[in-house]
Amino acid sequence: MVNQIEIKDLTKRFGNHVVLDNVNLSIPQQKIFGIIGESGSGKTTLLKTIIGFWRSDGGKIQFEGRDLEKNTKFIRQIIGFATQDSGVYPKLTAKENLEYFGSLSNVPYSTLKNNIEKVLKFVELDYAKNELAENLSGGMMRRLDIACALVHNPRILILDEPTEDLDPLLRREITNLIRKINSDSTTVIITSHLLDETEDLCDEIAILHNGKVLKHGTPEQLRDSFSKEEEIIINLHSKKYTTLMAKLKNHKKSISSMKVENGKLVIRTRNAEPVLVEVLRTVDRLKDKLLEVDVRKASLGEVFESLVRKGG
Amino acid sequence: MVKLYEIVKKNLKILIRSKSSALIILLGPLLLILLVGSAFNTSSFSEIAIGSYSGSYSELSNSILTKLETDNYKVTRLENSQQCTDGVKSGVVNICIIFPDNLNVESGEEIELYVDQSRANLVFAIKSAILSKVTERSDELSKDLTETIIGQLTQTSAELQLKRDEIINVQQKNSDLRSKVGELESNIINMNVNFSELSLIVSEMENETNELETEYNKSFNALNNLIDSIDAEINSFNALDASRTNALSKISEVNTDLSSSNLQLQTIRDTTDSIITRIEAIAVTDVDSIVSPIKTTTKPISKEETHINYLFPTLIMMVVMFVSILLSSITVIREKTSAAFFRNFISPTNSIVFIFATYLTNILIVILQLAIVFGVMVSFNPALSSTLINISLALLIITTTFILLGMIIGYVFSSEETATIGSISLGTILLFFSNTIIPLETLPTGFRQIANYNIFVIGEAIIRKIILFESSLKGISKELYLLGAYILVFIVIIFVIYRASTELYNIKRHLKGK
Repeated sequence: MVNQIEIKDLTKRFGNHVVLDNVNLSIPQQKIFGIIGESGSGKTTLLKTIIGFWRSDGGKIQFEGRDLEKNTKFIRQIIGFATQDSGVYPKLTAKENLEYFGSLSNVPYSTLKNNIEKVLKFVELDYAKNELAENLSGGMMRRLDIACALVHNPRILILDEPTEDLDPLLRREITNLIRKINSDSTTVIITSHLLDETEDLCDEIAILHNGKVLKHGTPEQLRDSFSKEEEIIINLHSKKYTTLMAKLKNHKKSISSMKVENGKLVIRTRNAEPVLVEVLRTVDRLKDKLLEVDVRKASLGEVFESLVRKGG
Repeated sequence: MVKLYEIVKKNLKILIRSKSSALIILLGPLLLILLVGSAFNTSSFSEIAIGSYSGSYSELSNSILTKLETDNYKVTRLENSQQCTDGVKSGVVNICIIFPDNLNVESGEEIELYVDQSRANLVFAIKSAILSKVTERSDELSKDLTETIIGQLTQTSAELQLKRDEIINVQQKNSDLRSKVGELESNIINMNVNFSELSLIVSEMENETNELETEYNKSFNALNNLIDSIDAEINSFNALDASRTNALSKISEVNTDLSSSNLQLQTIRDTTDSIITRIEAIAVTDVDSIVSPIKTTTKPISKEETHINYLFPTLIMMVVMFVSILLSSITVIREKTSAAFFRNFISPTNSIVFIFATYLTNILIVILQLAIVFGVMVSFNPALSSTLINISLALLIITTTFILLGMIIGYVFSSEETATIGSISLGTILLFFSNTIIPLETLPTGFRQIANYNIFVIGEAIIRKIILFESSLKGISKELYLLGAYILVFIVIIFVIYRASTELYNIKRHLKGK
C-alpha cells in the first residue's frame, strides 16, 4: 500500500503547551483515515499543521514524497479541507461560494463551471445553488462546506469533525457522502470523537491522546491489540439467564466471564464458535425465545478507553 | 488576475449584501456631504446672535448696532450686563457687547466684548467680524475729527498768507519813511551850514560898522539902530539854531525807532513765513490717509467663494479619511474573523493577492463615493470640474494612504469592535492635530512640526491647493512625495504584520475554541 502522507516526529507547541508530541503517522492513499481522540487531544491541530496552516516546531511532513515546507503551493492544490465551523461566506450563494473557492485553487474557468455543477449534484445541493449560504440548513451548510473543499478535485480531502453537532439523520447523510467521495479515489482524512461512527467508516484509525499517537491501524488491528476475546451477546424473551449460565459452565475453560448487562447476557470467550453452538442448543432445550444474538470483538470504544487510561 | 477579480467581486458582494455596512459605509458619507453642502452653501454668517447692553445707549453705540443689524446679525438688546454675559454662557447669544453709558468719542471709554472661548473657531470668526464693524464706525468718527483739524489748519494758513502780505506792506512803508526822515535830516544839516556863514557875515558887518562909527560919526545913531536890528536878527538866528539842533536830535530818535520797528516787522514776517512753510510742509492732507496712514486690504488669493468651497478640502478629507480607514479596517477584520478565512489561507493563493484585493475593493468603493461627492460639489460650484484630473490623481494617492493605514489597523486588532474603535480614535487624532479644530499655529513648535507630517494635514493641503488655487501637480509634488513615502512604509508594514497578525489571531481563536 502506498502512503500518501508521511508524518515523522511532528511537534507543535502553543507557547509552552505541547499540543503535538513527536507524532508519527503514515496515511495510505485512497483510504478513509480516521483520527480519534478526546476534545483537546490535538486532532484539529494535527490536521492544520499537516496542511501548513500552523508552522510545526519540529518533524517532517511529506505529501506524495514532497516536503510540505518546500511544496506548500502544490500541497494546497491537492488537498481539500472542511472544518467543523462552516468555512463559507454566509452572504454568498452556494454557487458563488464554489466559484470563489474554485478560482482560488487555480481551476480554469471552464473546468470550474463543470466542477461546480458536478459537485453540487454530488452533494445534492444543486436545487439550492442560488440560495445564500446563511439561509441553508445545518446539513446543507455542512455539505456546501464539503463541496467547497471538493470543487478543485483534490486528491486528499481533510474533514475536521464533519458530523459534529448534526442529528443522527444528517450524520448518516454525511458519512454516506464521505464514502461516496472515497469511492471516487479520493483519500479522506477525518477527525472525530464519535468512535462508533469512525469505526464503521474508516479503513485506518489513529488514536490521539495528549498530542501523542497511542495506536494506529485498521479497526480490526486496534481491537485485536486490545484483546483476542470476543463477545457473544444474547437477548432472551424471558430475560431469565440463570439456567443458561449454569448450563454453560461446562465450557468454563473457554469462557472467561458472563454477566447480564441491560437485560442481555454478555459472554466473553476466546473460542466463540463452540460456545455459541452450545448457547443456541441450550436455549432451544429451555424452550425460550431468542430475540437477538450477536458476536463481536471488543468495541473501538473499549479499546480507546483502555488505551487512554493507560496513556493518560 | 482571475483570482484578484474573484476576491474583489466577493468582497463587494459581501459588503453590499450586508445591509448595515452598506448603509453606514456607503450611504453615510454621501448623506453627510449632501447635508453639509446644502447647509454651508453661503458666504456669510447667518443667525449669529449678538447680545448688547448699555446703561444708556448713545448715538454712537446705536450706530454700531445698526451697522451690525444691516449685516444680518441678530442683535438683541438685553436688560443688564449679567443677562448679556449669561447669554453667551448658555449659548443664547454668540457674543455679548457691553457699551459704556453714553458712549461718545470724547469719553475714551472701551467697548467690552464677551465671547465663549471654548467655541474657538466661532469666536475667531465672530470677534473678527464684529470688531471690523466697530472699527469701521470708529474710522468714520476719526475721519470727521481729522477733517475738522485739517480744515482749521488750511484756513489758518490762508489767513497767515494774507497777514504776511500786510506785514510786507508795512515794512515797505516803514522803509520809505526812514528814507524820508534821512532826507529831512540831511536838509536840516545843510541848513545848519548856512546859519554859520550868516553869523560870520554879521560879525564882519559889525566889525566894519564899528570902523565906520569911528570914521563916520555922522550917521552913528542910524547905524546903531541898524546894529540893534542886526543883533535882534542874530538872536533870532541863534534861537533857530537851537531849534534845528533839537529837531536833528528828534529825527535821530525817529530813525532809531524806525530801524527797531523794521527789525521787529522782519521777525514777524520770518515767523509767519515759517508757520506758512510748516503748514504747507504737511504733505498728507487727505483725511483717509491721516486716519489710516497704512492701509491694509485683505484680498483673497483665490476667488471669493461660498463656505462650502472653503470647507470642501476639509470635508472631502474627512470623508476620505474616515471612510477609508473604517472601511478598510472593517474589511480586513471581517475577513480575518470570518470562518471562511481559514479556507482562503490554505488555498494555493499568495497572500499578496489577498492584500491587493482588499486594497482594490476599498479603493473602488471610496472612488465611487468620491465621484458622487465630487458630482455634488460640481453642482454647487461648476468651476471645480476644471480640476478634475489633478484632484482625481491626488485623491487616489491620499485615499491609498488612508486605506493602507486602515488595513494595518485591521491586521493589528482582533475584533471588529476594537478595530472600529481603533480606526475612529486614529481618525480623531489625525483630525484634531490638523487645522480643522484649531489652527496648527496654536500648538507648541514640536507638536506643530510633527503635525505638519499628519496625513490629514498633507492631504488637506493638496486638495486646498488644487481646488482653491488651481495648483498644478508640480505645485503639490512635495506633498505627493511625502504621501508616496507613507504608502511605501505602510506596504512594508502590512507585509510584515500580515502573516504574524493572522497567525496570532488564529492562535487566539484556536486557544479560545478550546
